[in-house]
Amino acid sequence: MYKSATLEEFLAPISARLGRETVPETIEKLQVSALVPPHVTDGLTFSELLDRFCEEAVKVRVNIHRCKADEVAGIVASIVEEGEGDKVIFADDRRIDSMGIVEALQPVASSLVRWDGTKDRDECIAEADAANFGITFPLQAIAETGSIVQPCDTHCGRAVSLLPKTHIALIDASTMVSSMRDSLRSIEAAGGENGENLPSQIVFIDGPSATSDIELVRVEGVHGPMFEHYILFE
Amino acid sequence: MITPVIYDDAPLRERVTKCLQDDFKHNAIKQAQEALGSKRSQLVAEMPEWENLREAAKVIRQHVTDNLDYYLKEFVENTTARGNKVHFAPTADDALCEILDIFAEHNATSCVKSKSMMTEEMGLNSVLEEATIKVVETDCAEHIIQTAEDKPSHIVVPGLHFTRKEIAELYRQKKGYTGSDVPEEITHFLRDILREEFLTADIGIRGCNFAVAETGSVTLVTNEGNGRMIGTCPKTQIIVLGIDRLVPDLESLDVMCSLLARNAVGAKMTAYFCMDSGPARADEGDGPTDVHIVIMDNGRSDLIDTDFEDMLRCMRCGACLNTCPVYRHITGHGYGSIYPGPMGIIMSANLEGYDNIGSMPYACTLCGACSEDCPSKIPLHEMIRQHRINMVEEGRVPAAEQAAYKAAAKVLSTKPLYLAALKVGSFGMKPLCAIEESGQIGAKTAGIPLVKNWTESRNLDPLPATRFRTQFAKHKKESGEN
Amino acid sequence: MKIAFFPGCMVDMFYPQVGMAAVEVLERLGCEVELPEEQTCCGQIFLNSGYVEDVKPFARQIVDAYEKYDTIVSLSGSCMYAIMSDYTDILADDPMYRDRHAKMAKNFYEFTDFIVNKLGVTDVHAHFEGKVTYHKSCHLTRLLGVKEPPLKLLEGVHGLELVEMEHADRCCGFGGTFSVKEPEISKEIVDEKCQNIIDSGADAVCGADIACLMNIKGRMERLKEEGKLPRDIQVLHIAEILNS
Repeated sequence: MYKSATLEEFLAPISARLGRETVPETIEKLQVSALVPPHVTDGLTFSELLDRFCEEAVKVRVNIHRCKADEVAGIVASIVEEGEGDKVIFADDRRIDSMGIVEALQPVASSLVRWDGTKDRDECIAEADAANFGITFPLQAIAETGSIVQPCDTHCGRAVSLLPKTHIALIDASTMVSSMRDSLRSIEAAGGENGENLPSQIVFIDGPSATSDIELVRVEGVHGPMFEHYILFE
Repeated sequence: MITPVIYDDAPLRERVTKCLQDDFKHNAIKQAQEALGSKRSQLVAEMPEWENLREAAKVIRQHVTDNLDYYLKEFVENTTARGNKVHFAPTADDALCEILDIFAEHNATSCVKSKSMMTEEMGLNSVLEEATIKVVETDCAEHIIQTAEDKPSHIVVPGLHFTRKEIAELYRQKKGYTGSDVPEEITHFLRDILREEFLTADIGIRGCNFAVAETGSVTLVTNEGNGRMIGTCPKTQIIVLGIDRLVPDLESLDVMCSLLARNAVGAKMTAYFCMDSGPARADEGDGPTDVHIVIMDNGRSDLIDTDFEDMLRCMRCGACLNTCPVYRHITGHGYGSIYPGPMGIIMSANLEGYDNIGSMPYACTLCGACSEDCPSKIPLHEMIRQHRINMVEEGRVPAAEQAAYKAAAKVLSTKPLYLAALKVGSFGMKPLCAIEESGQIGAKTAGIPLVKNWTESRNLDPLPATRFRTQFAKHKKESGEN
Repeated sequence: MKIAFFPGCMVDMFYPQVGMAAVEVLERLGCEVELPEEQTCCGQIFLNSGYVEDVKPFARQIVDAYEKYDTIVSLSGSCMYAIMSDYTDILADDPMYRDRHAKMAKNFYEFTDFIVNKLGVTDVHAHFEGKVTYHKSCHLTRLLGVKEPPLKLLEGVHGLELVEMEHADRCCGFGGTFSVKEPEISKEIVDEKCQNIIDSGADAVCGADIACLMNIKGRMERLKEEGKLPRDIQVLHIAEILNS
């Protein structure tokens, strides 16, 4: 009869290989920050970071739109109008209202769904699956890689930026950081001592979903979005 | 012997001959190496701190090995506090039992999987299928391989040995595909059929690239988004985690991320990098509400304090495959193991022992290109040589070969014997040379066993009448006289 | 300057003209060259095949032969790496030889590195007409880290046009006994190397490690016999070019 191992049973042989009887209470920790060299984007000015972000995003086949905050709604509406389908799901973020996005979308979208994680789970996922466009507000943007940092919670499910064929990310330029390192540092600081306040998922997104599995030919839109739009507003 | 790791136990020569006969496969892997390798070198050239970054990765990974019990405990405590359920698997069999128990607990009869070497290593798919559980691989290449009932030829891009025509035909026959041979059309067909599987499967199974001890987080790197789908749709998730995947904190995670995608696919980042810290909360609307983490040792901790300990630093990026001059030609199938290339030789030997790997450690020129590219600075080629040394010491090479080596070593290391052999050698090679018009030892000597393996494809210069040492002595004498 | 010369057994056995070219270059640069009588072979080929025990007599013999010299010049990067690095492990348990080896190893220089970095010379007044491409031998380049000196010396050769082949630092497929243990794979690798040499447009390929050159030359000549070589391409050791 199979019996599961306990943590102690699992660790005992490992400690033994390390030449000790038990797991030590404390160890001499590594000063990781002292070891790690700077990222190539460290030291760039704010406007250089924005430029670099856009350059990198274009390289990974993102459609970049740079604009003023009051132009965002119009751009979102035109993406939906020109894109395939007209069903939209969006994160429940106060800016979706304050920026006038819902209003701008009403004439061009046949359905507008606000994510509500308190609803039935199957319904939430089905709504996202049915949508053609998913709109989210990333927490941060990373200049070095052209990536965005998307936390998932009750106001913005994982499905919003994943299931629709087009993902539109509305990025506040003031959230721009140099590198993944800066982003992880701020996540760590906000996450509590042992990560107790971390969101259940943070996804770093770097372009549309893609594969090169058939004869190394790059194809976009595998399981996630085929089209990725970043609207970077100041 | 066939095991979950070793899928082809034919002798190395036989496997190699077979692979070299397949021109498409041979070229596909060569092209993949060129493409991934050149993109990687371009990115490396843009990073003045590359070597310092490698050094940092090495130090961090080694530090975790040196304190593996501590970091495992810290990770388990924190990930449990985040709400994940942890299962401990000292062996692959234990991991299988744990996973079957989880399926039973949830009355689950189907699962979707994203590419995970750990599940390959334990042979999970066949065990689940025996238990009448439906298993769907969702990485495009893995799905192709699963549908074709074939084996991977690369660790990162495992299905390159199929032509687009073969893939289209495969799906026409088995999945009702009606489209063309165009990769985009086939891929979008896969998107459609797999979307349905994601939405209906009971359980999602995935691996983990790095686990963060300080926060209890697990991470997953994917390009296709199948890893994200698994983390979004099914209510229950099983994460299989090797004990050698830990990093101390988020600062360390940044180092690994900087290296992994650049080395694996020649990109600064993959399309998606997920960091999960516990199950989805009840009010999130999607994501798994039950997360089970199966931590597997399976012989890894036995490497601590051995010649192969450095292997615990491996981040499975595949950079060593992408630069290996041997892998380039024999492809993953030449190794007959789910772990191919330089890292694969070492992993296969470590996991399966010398009884099961034939002469795999000899499929290496010891050129050192792998060690030079390895992001965590593992001396891969030295470990491959160490496996050879162990095999010789344990008497696992043919007796005749061993005797020949020992005799030759004796001759070459003993000056009088060395000089005598050179005399005989230069005399003995003359008749061989006479066979060829060129005066060299050429193709016509291919029937002579000792020289055959060389002269099948190459000419051999004959031993000259006078050796260097003789000419040098004469030269010294002459210049002394002047 | 008095130096001890380490030719490597393949030069001793197969390519005396290469060894003599190197000696003549060194002498022209003012070195007094000696060849210790006792040395034969470094034993690396046995070590790389796994016969570590059988390498011990080689290691002791090299120490015996070379320890009395302050400067030792090796014509093989591969052998030299074995002598400098692998011997440290091999002789670790040998109190008679361990320290003597450590002292000797410090005195070893690779041929091209010696000329450029010890003698400070990059123009040895050699003359060679034609396009030459340089094969970067693995152990010399990667393990020993001798990258620039051969190129600097070639650039200093009058009349010589240096052209770079694709993947100049990719293995030639020799790999010691690999070439005869796994001849099929070895052939594929050397074929690509030959193709890269052909595509470079060079009239000659040169290298600084004779083992690779023996492999490349053997394949080139076979290709020529089979009518697959579009033009004559010489295979030369860098010492031969520097002595021309």
